[in-house]
Parts: sequence; structure tokens; C-alpha cells
Amino acid sequence: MQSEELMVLRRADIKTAVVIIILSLLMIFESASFPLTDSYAGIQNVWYVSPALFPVLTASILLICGVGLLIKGLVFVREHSDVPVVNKSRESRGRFFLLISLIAGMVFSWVPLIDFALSSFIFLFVFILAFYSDNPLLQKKIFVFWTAISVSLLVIYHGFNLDEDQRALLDWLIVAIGISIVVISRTWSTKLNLLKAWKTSWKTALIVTVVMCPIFRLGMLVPLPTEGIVIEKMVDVKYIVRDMWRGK
Amino acid sequence: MDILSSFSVFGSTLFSLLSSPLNIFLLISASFFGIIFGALPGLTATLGVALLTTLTYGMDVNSALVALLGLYVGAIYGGSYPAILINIPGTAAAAATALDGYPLACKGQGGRALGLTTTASLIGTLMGIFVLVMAAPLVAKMALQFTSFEFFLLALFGILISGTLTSSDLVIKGWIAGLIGLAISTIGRDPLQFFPRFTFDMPDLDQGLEVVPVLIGAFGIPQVIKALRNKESLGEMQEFGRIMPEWSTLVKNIKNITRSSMIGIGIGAVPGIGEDIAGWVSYGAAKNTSKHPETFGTGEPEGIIASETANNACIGGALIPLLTLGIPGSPPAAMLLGALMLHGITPGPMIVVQNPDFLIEVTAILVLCSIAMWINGMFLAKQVVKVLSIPAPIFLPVVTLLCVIGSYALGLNIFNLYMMVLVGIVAYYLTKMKYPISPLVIGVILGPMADENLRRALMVSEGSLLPFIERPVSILLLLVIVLILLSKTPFNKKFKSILFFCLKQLKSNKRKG
Repeated sequence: MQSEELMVLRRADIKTAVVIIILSLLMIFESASFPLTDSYAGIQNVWYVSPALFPVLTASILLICGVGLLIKGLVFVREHSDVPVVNKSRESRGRFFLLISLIAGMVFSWVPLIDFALSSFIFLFVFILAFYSDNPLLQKKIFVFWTAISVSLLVIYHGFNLDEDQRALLDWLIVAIGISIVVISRTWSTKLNLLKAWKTSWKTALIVTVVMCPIFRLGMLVPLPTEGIVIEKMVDVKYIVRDMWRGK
Repeated sequence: MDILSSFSVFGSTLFSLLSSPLNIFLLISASFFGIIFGALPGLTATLGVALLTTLTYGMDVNSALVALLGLYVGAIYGGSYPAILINIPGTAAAAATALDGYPLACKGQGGRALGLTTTASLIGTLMGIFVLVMAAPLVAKMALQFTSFEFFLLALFGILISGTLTSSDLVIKGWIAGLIGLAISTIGRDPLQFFPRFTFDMPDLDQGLEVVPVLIGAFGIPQVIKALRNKESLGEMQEFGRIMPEWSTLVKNIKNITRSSMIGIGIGAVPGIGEDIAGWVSYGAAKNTSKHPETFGTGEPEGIIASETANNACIGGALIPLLTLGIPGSPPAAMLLGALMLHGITPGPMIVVQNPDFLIEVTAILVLCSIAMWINGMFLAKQVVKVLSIPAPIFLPVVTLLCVIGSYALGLNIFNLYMMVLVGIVAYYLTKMKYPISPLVIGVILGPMADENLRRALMVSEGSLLPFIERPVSILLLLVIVLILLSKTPFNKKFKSILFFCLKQLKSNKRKG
């Protein structure tokens, strides 16, 4: 390993070691509140039966390892203070934040609130377009757009207790937003000469959603996280087709 | 169980599996998708098994095992495709294969290289199965004598050895990863008194963290982030002609195949160490014992055979501790453990008592899986290779969506998704800072076993630690643990230098005398 890379690694080790030390101390502190020698659920505790034994043991060893890592890191950094620190490019950092925003937004905001088929399609379309086009300008626009919608959905999810009708209304709103995203991104893609990436993105997103949702919901009978205007209709269609097949 | 009845169970399992068209379809398709999963850089056998676990939830145990083991065997083999054709190993297990596979493909012998890989993988898997069926009953019988003291030390040994051998930077990072896994495993109600630990009054944490979402997060999310952040792209694809098994080369390499199989099985049986290490060790052994080591790295078939035989033999090896002790031998085996538990099977020494046919059934399924892998490899290679032309920015978002559905589908709980993302981001940072992920996962899986057995052991001895040094297996395990720890301390270097100095002095004194 290059000494510059090693320097970055050891500096990161110091930060991690501090986090590990703090976490293990917190773990020991929290474990101290577990029953040690008093009675719990009718059982008179002794130290070796206590639920605190294993966490304290683990946290103590983790603490020792954390201190060891901290010392190793500090010694290295002091011995090689002349080695410059190389940082990751801004572009790479931008891609990282976009990835985190896409994944976290999907899981924390879209999945709990929006019909799974709708959220899957929009998520896949935006995700594929951002990285298949590989254009920093488009990635930046997608990041702002996606983050803004995800934060709004997160506020709605935690701030309001929506009933079924309101949820259906929200699904329709997302349909409108989804269409807008597809249309607006087409304009962006045309301007940036990325029309091929745009076409591939929406086609892939549509095919995967149309294939995956019925496989899980109808084929394997796995309920999807949120079933709204699309999934519910899909299930209804299944029963209609089944009844027609049976001649009812 | 005598040999005759074992054969009868083996035959009847094969017959019942092959008489069901659904099982044959499952076998071929799981193996095919396994090869694709292994072939796509960024996707691993572990993630494949994790995602498939969700789909097998509604199946009976045998069908589920057909699908899971088919994918496992296929994925370990599938990593060799990009290794040979584009010089990028699909999985870490195939990294050593690329050293000679790609140069051979550049010489226009890609078909030959793939043929050798396919047949070597088949032989490796079959050798692993043979040792599994021979050794597992003996290990299980021995393990029946184990008490809580031994099980606690065994879990500790598993985490420690995995941390020691998988760390590519400082050894302490491997141990820290294992300890973080153990710490994560303490979340939830404790197994003996049901006291809520680190739940912070959140009902979702009462049951502890579910293993499958944690594994999907730990193995899936970091791969997606890493590949897309670093814009990992594939090299130029090499052409390959007809795939031939080339029996004559394999016959010439019998010694190499036997040695590589033994290395693979041995490494597979050590808890937490995967197929990648087996591939490298076996490649190194083949090079060191070769009459022409200078040809290694230039397209030497011996190198390809060594690494591919070993990484597939690892599967049988990894299943030995998994089925007999409940300790996974490799990360995909760890995932398999989670899947088996979902189907109501708890691997461990009691399995030979509670379900004596299970081991033979697994053997029969593994034999079918290795044959399916060979058939797929020989006849469907051209179709598999087409998948390699799909760019990562297209298939990785789909994999992310599969991770989301996979994590949700098992517990039907949104909270599992939150955990998957959090674990995924933490695992990404840990991977970036060169912390191995396998010990963390092994820690999460073995944590409850270590916790429960430590407290049970101390309850039996009324708090005395003496039984740890009074029981023979305990002493042995304790000694190994202490030796592992000491071998990685700075004192070890000083001790070694003092020892060598003393030996030199002794030698020179003898000469003078």
C-alpha cells in the first residue's frame, strides 16, 4: 500500500477508534443498568447469570481493541507526519451522497408511504438514469429533485396520520410527480445528449417493476410493504381473472 | 446409521427430487442464476443466497435446499467467467483464477480455460461432498460430548480465527469487526431471562435484529455503493470457442486436484473463512510444488485447476461445521444457516439424533447441484456471458430493489429495511477502512450462542472458571485461542527472535563442542 493511502487509512483509524471507544463506554454504562445481583422476573441474579455479563465482556474487549487501534494510528501519524493526505475527488463524493440519498430516501420515505409498484418504478428510473448517464450535472439535478421529494414524504409520513383515501390521493399525486420526473428528465437528457440513457432507464424500470411486483405479490404471495392504487388493482385483477377462469 | 441404509436414503432422496419436475426446474434455474450472480462483478454468493432465502420461504425444506445449494455452488463457480474472459473476478473466490485464466483466454483458449474451470469445480465440489459425508457424522458424534464450556469457546474461536485470517490490514480490525458483530447480537431480549437489552423501549428491537436483513445490508449495500461510486467498469471481453472438459489435462493433474481439494476442504471447515482464501492458498501451493513455477501467471492450466478445485471444495468443508456444530464455515454458509433456521432446522450436534437422514439428503442435493452446475457451465456458458454485457449502473439498481424486497419479505416489517440501510452504510464505511465484514456477520450469528453458553457454563460451575481448564476439549480450544492472540502481538516477534537466537547459539555451541 502507498504511504499516502496508508496515511489516509490510519487517520480514519484514529477517528474510528474514538467512535469505538465512545460506543463501548456507552455500552458498559447502559449494561450497568441491567440486573446484576437483584431479582428480575422471579430470578435472583448473581453476576454470572446477569444479562449484563456478555455485553460488558464484549464492550470491555472492544474498548481495549479501540484503544489499541487509537495508539497504532497515533504512532503512525506521528512517525509519518511528512506524508501528505490525499482526499477523494468532489465528483466521487457527489456520487456517494446521491447513492445514500437514493437508497435512504427509498427506504425511509417512499416504501412506507407510497404504493410499492409506483415507488419501485420511480426509484429504478431515477437511479438508473443518474448512474447510466454518468453526467455530474444530471446527477446533481436528480439529487436535488429526489432529496426534496423524499424529505417531503418523510415529513408527511411522520407528521400526519393519513387515512386510506388520503393515501390513495397521495398515490395519485405521486403518479403525477412520476410522469413529471420522466418528462422533465427527458428535456434535461435531450439538452445533455443523453436520450439513449433516458430511454434505457424508463424501459428497464418499467420492465423490472412489471415483472417483479407480480412475482412477489401474486406468485409467492408476499405482501408488499405498501399496497396502494396499483398493487391493490393488480390483486383485484388476479381474482377477476381467476373467477373468469373458473367460470363464475 | 449403517452404510446400506445411508445409500438407500441417498437413492430415495435423489429419486424423489428427480421425479418432481418442479425440483428439476428449481435445480437448473437456481444453478443458472447462481452462475450469473457469481459472474456479475459486485454480486456475491452470500448476497445471492440471502436474496433467494426470501423466495424459498414458502417451499418445503428439500426444494428450498435444492434452490439455495444450487445457487451457492453455481455462484462460487460463476466467478470464474469474468475472471477468465475480462480479467475481473466475479467473486473474490475466483481472483486467483484470473491470474492464469485471462492469459489463456488472451491466447485464444478461453473455451479451454472455461472447460477446465467447469470440470475442476465439479471435481472439487464432489470431493468436498465426499469428505462432508465421511467426516460430518464423526464430528457430530464428538460434538455431542460438548458442553456449554466448549460451545462458548468454539464460538469465540470462530470469531477470532475469522477476524485474524480475513483482515487485509491490521489484525485488530478483524477482531473489532467480530466484536461489533457480537455487540449487535446483544440487542433484544436476552436468551435466558428475557431482559430487554439495548432496546431503548422500542418494541421493534425486542426480538433483536433479524439476521437476513443484517446480512443483506452488510453484503449488498456496500457492493452497490462501492461499484457505483468508484465507477467500476468491465474490461474487454475475450472470445472463446467450444468449451471442452479436457480430461487428459485433468488426469495429469490428479495430484494437484487432490491437494487443492484437501486445502479447500480444510480451509472451508475453519469457521468464517471463505472460498477466496482457499483459492489463493491452493494456487500458491500449486505454484510452489510445480516443476515449472515460472509459467504460472502466463496461462498455466495447473493454476486454474488448483484455484477452482479448492474454492468449490470449500463448500463441502464449510458445511461440516455448519451442519454438525451450527457454526458456519464461510459467509455463504452463514447465510445458509439463517435460511435453514427459517425452515425450522437447527443445525448442530443434535441434528444426527433428531433428523438422522438430513445429512444424507443434503449430500444428495449437493451432488445434484454440482451436476447441474457442470451441465449449465458446459452448455449455457454463452448465455451466461451475455449477462456480462449489462452495465453495472443498470443491474445494480435492480439489485438494490431486490435487497429492499428481500429484507422486507421475511419479517414483513419495515423496521428491517431501516436496519438494512443502517447496517449497509456502516458496513460500507468499515469495508472502506479495510475492516473485514465476514467476522462481523459471524459475530452476529454466533453471538447468542456465545452469550447463552457462557452463562449456562458459569451457572453449572457456580461462577467458577476452573472447568475451562479442566476439560480436555476446552483446554485445547483455549490454547488455540491464546496462541492465535499471542501470535499477533508484538511480543511474538521478540519471542521469535529470542528463540531463533537461542537456537543459533545452541547450534554454534554444538559445532564448537
